[in-house]
Amino acid sequence: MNSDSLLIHFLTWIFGQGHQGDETVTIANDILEYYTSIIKTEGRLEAAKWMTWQLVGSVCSLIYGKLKWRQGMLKNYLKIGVRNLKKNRVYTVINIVGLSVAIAWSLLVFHYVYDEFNYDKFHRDIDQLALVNTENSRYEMFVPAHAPLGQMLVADQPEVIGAVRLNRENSFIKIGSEISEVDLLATDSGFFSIFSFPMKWGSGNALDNQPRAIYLSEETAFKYYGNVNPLGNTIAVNIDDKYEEFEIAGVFAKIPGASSLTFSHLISINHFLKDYGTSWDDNASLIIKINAGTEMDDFISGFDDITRPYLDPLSDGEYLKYNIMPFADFHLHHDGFFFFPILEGASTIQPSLVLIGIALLILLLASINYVNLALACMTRRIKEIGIYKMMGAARKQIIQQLLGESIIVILITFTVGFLLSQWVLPAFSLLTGKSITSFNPGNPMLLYFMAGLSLLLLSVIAIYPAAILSKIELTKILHSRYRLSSRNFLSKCLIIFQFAISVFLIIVTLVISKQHKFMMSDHFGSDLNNVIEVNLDYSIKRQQLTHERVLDFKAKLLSAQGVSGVVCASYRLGGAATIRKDRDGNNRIVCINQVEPDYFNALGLKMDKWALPEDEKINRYLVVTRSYADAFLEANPLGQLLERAMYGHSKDSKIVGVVEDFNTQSLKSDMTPQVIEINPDAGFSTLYIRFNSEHTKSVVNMLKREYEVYWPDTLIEYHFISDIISEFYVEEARWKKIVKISAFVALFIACSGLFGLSLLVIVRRTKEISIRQVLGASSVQLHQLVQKDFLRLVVTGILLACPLSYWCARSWLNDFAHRTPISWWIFVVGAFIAFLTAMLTIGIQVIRNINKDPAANLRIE
Amino acid sequence: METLSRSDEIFVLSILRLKDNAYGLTIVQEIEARTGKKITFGALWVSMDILAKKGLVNKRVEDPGKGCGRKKIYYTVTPEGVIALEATRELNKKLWRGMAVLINGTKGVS
Repeated sequence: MNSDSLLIHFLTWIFGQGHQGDETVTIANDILEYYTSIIKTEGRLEAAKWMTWQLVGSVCSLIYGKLKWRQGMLKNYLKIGVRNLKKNRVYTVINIVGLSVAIAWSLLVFHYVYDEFNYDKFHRDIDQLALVNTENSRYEMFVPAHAPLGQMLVADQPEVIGAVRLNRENSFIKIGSEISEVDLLATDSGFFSIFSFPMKWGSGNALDNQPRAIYLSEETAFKYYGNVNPLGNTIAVNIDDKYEEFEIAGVFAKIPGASSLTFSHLISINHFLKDYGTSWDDNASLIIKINAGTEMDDFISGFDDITRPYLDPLSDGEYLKYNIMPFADFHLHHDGFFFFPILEGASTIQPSLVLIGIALLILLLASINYVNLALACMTRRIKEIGIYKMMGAARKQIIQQLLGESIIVILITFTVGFLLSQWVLPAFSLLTGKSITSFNPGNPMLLYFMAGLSLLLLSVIAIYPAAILSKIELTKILHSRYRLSSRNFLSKCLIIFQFAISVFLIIVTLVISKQHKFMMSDHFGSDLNNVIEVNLDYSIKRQQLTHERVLDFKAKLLSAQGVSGVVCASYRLGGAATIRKDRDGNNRIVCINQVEPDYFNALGLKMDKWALPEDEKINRYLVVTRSYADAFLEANPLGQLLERAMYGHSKDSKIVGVVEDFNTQSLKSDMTPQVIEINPDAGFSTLYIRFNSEHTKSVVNMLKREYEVYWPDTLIEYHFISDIISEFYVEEARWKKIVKISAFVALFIACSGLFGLSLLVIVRRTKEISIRQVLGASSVQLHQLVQKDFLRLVVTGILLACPLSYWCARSWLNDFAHRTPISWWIFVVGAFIAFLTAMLTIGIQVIRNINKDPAANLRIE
Repeated sequence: METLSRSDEIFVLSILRLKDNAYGLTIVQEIEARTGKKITFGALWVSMDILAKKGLVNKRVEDPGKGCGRKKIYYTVTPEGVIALEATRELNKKLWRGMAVLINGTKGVS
């Protein structure tokens, strides 16, 4: 009975909106009577369903009825609202522009974050999938798991119900007579049962039964065959230097979401593994699927015990073990140490957080503009509200009127913001490295997000001014005693806050660009601009890559115009990685390379110590980098004997020089120690070409032409070294742009707010200014008069921003092993930009006013 | 001449049919029993308010006093309501005139 009376109260309250008490009680009783009869006939569950339906439907009807009821009133609110917005055109435009930009940015960020958090989630069984790799403590190395492990786990462990092996194989395919280089994804039939990639044509499971089957992605199929079903056509794939015919067995449809695993061609992994994948010498990336009933965490914690029997123990404390990690965690919670190169695009939560932070800041700035302008405009509207009150308007009605105006503004800004975000979405995708091409309007999360955002905005920007305005007492208004000018403490704080944020973003932008520029341009002990690296071992077979042929090619290149130096080496810039014990006995990665004697000159390496013996044969001597000398050798490295650079040579060689470290990898990490062997007889497969920058085009053309002569039927692989280096810093370049744009937007919004406020002040003080003008005040004095108050706030903001941005920039820079100092001029420039923009913004207003005839201003009224 | 909307028409017809016993619960039950259409009390409530404001329906609160049941709002149709209902039927008639042949004709063709 108690619950019934509660229900009655609730229903009465719902239906009671706008009706007399008597009537609502009766209708609530009607509903209750029906409800009890349903309980009797059909049971509580049905009754509860009926009640829910009744409530939802009734509320909808009531809202509809209320709207219909008050049509006239709504129309009135709307009319007055639109008139007011039109009257204060400048402020309306400022608000709408600022808020639209903020909303557009928030929508874009929403898409970014949504995409990040739904990475790989389109796989039905994503929570049951786990990645497995091998860790070898002897070399501190991670490698893909042993090839047969997956099948053995499926056979032995009841929890494991599926496994798939994946390898990427670089190869060539021939369609008709056209050869192209492709990235093959080699896998087994587990691919179809474990992942949820939808098929467009054909079906899975030809992979095992039909060894000569190939699958294509939709784009690849479209590229080769257009929009027709290509099933049954054949493609020749180069396997072990022989072209073999493969039949197209299926085409995948577009991947339905963001995916860490991407592929263009899919073929059976058995072509690349020994003994059909049963050999323990082979490795393949392994993904296993566990039972739906098994807890992933429990399985992972017991994984060591399960897999230990499969591994032979290594000697003295070294170990070999399998590591496991949930697939679902790969994209966002990848710690960087779990080696799994088959999957790409691992990221962290941090970019999402930074973007959300920036979006919130910009929303806040735009909201501050709205609140500030609304408070400042109050002085104008105070009489209007006084009249409303005199005519008997209740506080509720005044709030409704003011809220109505805010709702109109928010509706407009949402429309504009949505269109704006649609428009810049491609640019944003490019900027953030995402492949979001269009909004999915059917995404319910987007609708929730927009609804939530509008409610948030409404509560932030509309309720405060409306509450204050409606509270003012009538008598005070009529006596003009109510003062609410820009002297208001809150407005001042908000302006300070706006400029603090803008300056903060500007300074951070400057620091990031400085660091980026530093990493891009400063090559330390080398001069790597205008150098091309050509990799010959990439597609040329060993037999055709003889020593003489390479040297011949080199001579040909040297004779060309614009080439100032060519030098051969065995490996790419930096060399090949190996592990050596340093002086303290720790394992460290060392890079080794074999080069021609003029390597150091051609790359502009700075020789620190150089003591070349006078004898004729200068080959087989070693040069080490400074970091190698510091970490591995005793005090004077020159003349010391060292094991030779290459594997398999135990003969000792003499160190004849030490070069400064040069950056062959990202400056985020420390320099890798290097050992460079001078050996003109080594097997060379890389060429470095130094050229004059004005001949870039002709040198590249000549290089391609000559290559074609020497090694026809293969593809040339070359890079500008500056491109290789800039690729290390793609992330930094991206953040530089993002923060720069947000700093610009923040400054723009802050200044537009200042523009509106200064306009208001000037309008209020028009007569004062005119009188001063008549009495002979100079324009400098007038500027001073108006600008003083505002600029004081701006300066306070700048002062607040400096320590904050210093702290932030420092913690960002801490990620880098080599960093630029945060110099004082960065703060000066940041402050100057903000100060100047603010001064100009206000100055424009003042100048406009001064240029008017003061007499005309004074003669009004 | 004012005509009624479809849902208003249904409500007014049911009130007429229920004679003096037309209040919220009976109206909803009547409509459900006769047509199988489910309606919410909210919709009824809003419609009744609007119809009462237009003067097509009369509202009467009856309190039988303690012990004789609860308070109820009874609805009756005013003469204006009946006129509006007639006008609605006229409109329907005009719209439906000759339709039977056309509909059957189309059926025959397809």
